[in-house]
Amino acid sequence: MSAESPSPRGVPLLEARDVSASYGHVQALKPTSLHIAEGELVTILGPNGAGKTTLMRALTRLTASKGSVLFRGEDISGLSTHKLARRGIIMVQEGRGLFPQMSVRENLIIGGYLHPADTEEQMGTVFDLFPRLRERVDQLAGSLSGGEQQMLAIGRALMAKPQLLMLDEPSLGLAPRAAFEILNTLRELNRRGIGILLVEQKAPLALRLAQRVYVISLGKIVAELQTHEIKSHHDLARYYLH
Amino acid sequence: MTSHATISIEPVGVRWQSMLPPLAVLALAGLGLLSSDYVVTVLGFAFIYAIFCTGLNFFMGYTGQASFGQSAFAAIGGYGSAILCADYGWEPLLALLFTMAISGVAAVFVGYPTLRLRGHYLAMATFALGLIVYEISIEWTSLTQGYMGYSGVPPLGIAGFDLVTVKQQLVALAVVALFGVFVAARLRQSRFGRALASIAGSEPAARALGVDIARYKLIAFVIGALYASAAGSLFAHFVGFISPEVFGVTMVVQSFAMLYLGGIGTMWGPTIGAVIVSVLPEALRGLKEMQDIAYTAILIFILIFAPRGLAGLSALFKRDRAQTREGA
Repeated sequence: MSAESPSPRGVPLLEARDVSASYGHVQALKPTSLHIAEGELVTILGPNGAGKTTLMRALTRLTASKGSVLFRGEDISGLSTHKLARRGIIMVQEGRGLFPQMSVRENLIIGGYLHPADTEEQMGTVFDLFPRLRERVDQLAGSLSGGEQQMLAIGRALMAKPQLLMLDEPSLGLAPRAAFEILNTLRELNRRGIGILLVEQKAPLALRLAQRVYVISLGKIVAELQTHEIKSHHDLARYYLH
Repeated sequence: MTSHATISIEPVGVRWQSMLPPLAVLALAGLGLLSSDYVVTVLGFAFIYAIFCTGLNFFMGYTGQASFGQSAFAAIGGYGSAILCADYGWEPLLALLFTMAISGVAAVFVGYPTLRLRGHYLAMATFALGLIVYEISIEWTSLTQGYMGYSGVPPLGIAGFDLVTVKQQLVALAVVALFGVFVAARLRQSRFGRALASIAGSEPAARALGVDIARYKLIAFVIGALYASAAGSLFAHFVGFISPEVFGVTMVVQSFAMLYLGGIGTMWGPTIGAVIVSVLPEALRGLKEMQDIAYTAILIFILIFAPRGLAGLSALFKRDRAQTREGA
């Protein structure tokens, strides 16, 4: 499940250089640069409409973008989303993007589309992480609770053996306890060596996990902070009010 | 325009329930053997439409796309077989396979640019494709003989063994229809089928999981074209005559009714829908001027009480039983 071919020493797992994206004439994401080291958990924080989701979508080519993106030093800017998935860059989208009319098992099987030979083994790993999914394995995804759906979305992404997992607001719409559980699982995945880029609005939760934080506001990154540098939430608030 | 297909991956089990539809098809064919040629002809049309709709189901049901233009490929198959057999003396089976290949190639050329469109735009583009081929079949009289139609198409057969009676042909059509469903079911259970199901569920999610959306849509479109072409060819051989009207808008409307009535996205829905929509008007013929009203009322009644189609009813019953068990 973890990164299998780590980057050469000093080369980031992912590096974005001046990535920008527009919707028509509106530039939703100004030229933005960021990087994620091998095995790092990085959070992008920012208020509503700051451009967090656009940044994620631009990095995974779900939205047309300019600038360059490097994965382990290799330029992947021209690759389409499904080719990025083949490299190990898997995104869990906002709203989870589940197949609601399919069962939990079917969702997971489709998640393992790129590695059909390892489906059973991966499914076992997912069930170990989320035992509740094992109990609900034949239930329709659409009938799961919000927390269980998020577990399934992450589990399905794990079926694709990600080396970099990108998650867009995984705690959105979840009760605090469920959100806490989900984010704890992300910490565990990160411990297993998976690089994680997390977009999150709930700063207190995100700060417990991340090693590093980018703050985005009005379509551009306004701060890059080590989590330990942030003494109080007031430190962040000034960036939100940027 | 994403279809409301049931995109769950049904297991191709060998439970007795899964044997019911093929047995029903064989029973219908058997019934045909004991009936008049008129009944045989109606059942023959039903099986031909079942083949056509099974292909359409690939693109619309399994992949969740809209196509109003599959009749174009049926026309290629029908006219191809008619011309090759009647004018050039080809073996009917060889002509059928050859025109399928031509339709497949045509689907690649047409589908590659067209499938970049989505929703209503894709629907309109495919509709235009159907209309263009329909117009060609009318206007290119030196090839198609226009409204006059093409007659003298020999019955299906190979190597001198021709299915000369309609009853022999009915059995062949039933076997081909079952084979078509079997192939579709196997493909659906494959990795390819799962990729199609993911496209029907959510294109961005499928893409993010590594599914090459454009490629799979094109393959599903081509498979639909192959089935449509085979159906067109079989029609030509079964009736011995084709004309442009066969492949007109009526065919599109008819096949949509069959697909939704039977259950879009289900394995047996297209076949069930094809049989119901083909047989029902004939069964109601005794009502004379009330026939159309009764026919339409029954279709509406079915769609209201079985919104996922008749094949979807079994899933509904299964869920009810499961809920009852959970509640107990």
